[in-house]
Amino acid sequence: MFSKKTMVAVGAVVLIGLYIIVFSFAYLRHSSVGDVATRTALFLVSPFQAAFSSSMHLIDDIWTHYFFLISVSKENDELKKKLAQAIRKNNGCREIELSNNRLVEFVKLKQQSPFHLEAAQVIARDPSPWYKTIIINKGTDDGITAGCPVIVPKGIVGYVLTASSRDAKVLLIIDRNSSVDALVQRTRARGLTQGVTRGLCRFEFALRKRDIKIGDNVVSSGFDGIYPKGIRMGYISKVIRRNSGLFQDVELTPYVDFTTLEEVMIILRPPSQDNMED
Amino acid sequence: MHFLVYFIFSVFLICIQTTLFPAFFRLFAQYDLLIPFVVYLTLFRSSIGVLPVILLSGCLMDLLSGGIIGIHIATYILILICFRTATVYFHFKNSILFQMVIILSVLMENIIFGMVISLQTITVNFSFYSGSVLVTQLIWAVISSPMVYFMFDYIFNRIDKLITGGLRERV
Repeated sequence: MFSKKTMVAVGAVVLIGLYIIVFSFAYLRHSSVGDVATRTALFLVSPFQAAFSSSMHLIDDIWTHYFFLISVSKENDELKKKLAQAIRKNNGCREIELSNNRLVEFVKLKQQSPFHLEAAQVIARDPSPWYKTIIINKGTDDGITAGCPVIVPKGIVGYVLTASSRDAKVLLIIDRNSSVDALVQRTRARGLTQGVTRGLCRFEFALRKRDIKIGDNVVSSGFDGIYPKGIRMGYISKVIRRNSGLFQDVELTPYVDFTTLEEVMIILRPPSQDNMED
Repeated sequence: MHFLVYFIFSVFLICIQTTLFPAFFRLFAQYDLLIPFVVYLTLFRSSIGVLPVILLSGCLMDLLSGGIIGIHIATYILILICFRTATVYFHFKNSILFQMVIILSVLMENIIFGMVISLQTITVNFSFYSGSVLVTQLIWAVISSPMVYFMFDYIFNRIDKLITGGLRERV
């Protein structure tokens, strides 16, 4: 329909026209008119763009946080299991660490002590709150007999009341039926410690003229025939010296925390006083 | 058969009381778990197997405890005699009455223990500790007894059904 020349001429006109338009708009962009036009366009379009964009984000959120949650939930379950395992393992490690610390103290005591010691675990406690005994997992098969003193690195625990072949019952020094012949380490004031059940002891028959102060250490005297001499018992926590009477009222707080007792040492063959002095 | 079940159950309760509670629930350790069990046996079970179980579990408690031998047996037997006699006059199929009986039994046990300890130590000494032990036990008795009543009832009814094939053993 059109000749080749006409086509080339039209093409050239169109190209020139396009150039003119492009350059005109490029000029307009840097002019104030262009700036106004751009702002207007932005003003008109940007709310829709924002709405569109936020709805896209919403869809994306729904997709990633809801549909993908099925896999996330599974992953979460697995992670929870792993966390529980890690917590259990961590707790086990912590228990081992604490047990290790206690056992290190026991080993030190065993190495330093002149006595023949046997370690045992506390397996049960007294069923009645009025009496204070514990049951340990060593008995006559391990050389434990009634009357063997029981200690821990902190001090005296009590003595073996009865022993079966595999277990033994230990009377704690805080029991009302327990008495230990003891000395105040600083002044050598002698007395008899008796349990008062609520985790404390009374230091009975301490003469009023004897100098006893709060904080003084009390050790076993060795005269009761059960506990060797010089084992720590506790410290003086209360002293009441009345104007009359032969004795003073003294309260003793044991070094051993009987509520958290887990392992103990039993002195199997307490050496005699002569051997101790040697 | 019933005797064996009761005895195994009492040993289970003693084990919980001497090992689990002192380690994890120290406050609950002060409460004698055998008291509700003995009361339940006394009020709701027939005589067959009850007396030997009470004697044996009391004996076990005495042997495990640091107290004098016979104190737990005496307490449980006294509870058995008192409340078995009371069943003639009262109908105890009620959790509130059961609660009352448990509270009375706890009081009875503590009075017996207090008397024995006072005789042992010559001087009567009611300290704050003694009071707190008694109050703790009473609180636990009040809180736990309805639950214990329903639990025992459920467990022993199931066991009865297993043993007798539907025939319940009742007073």
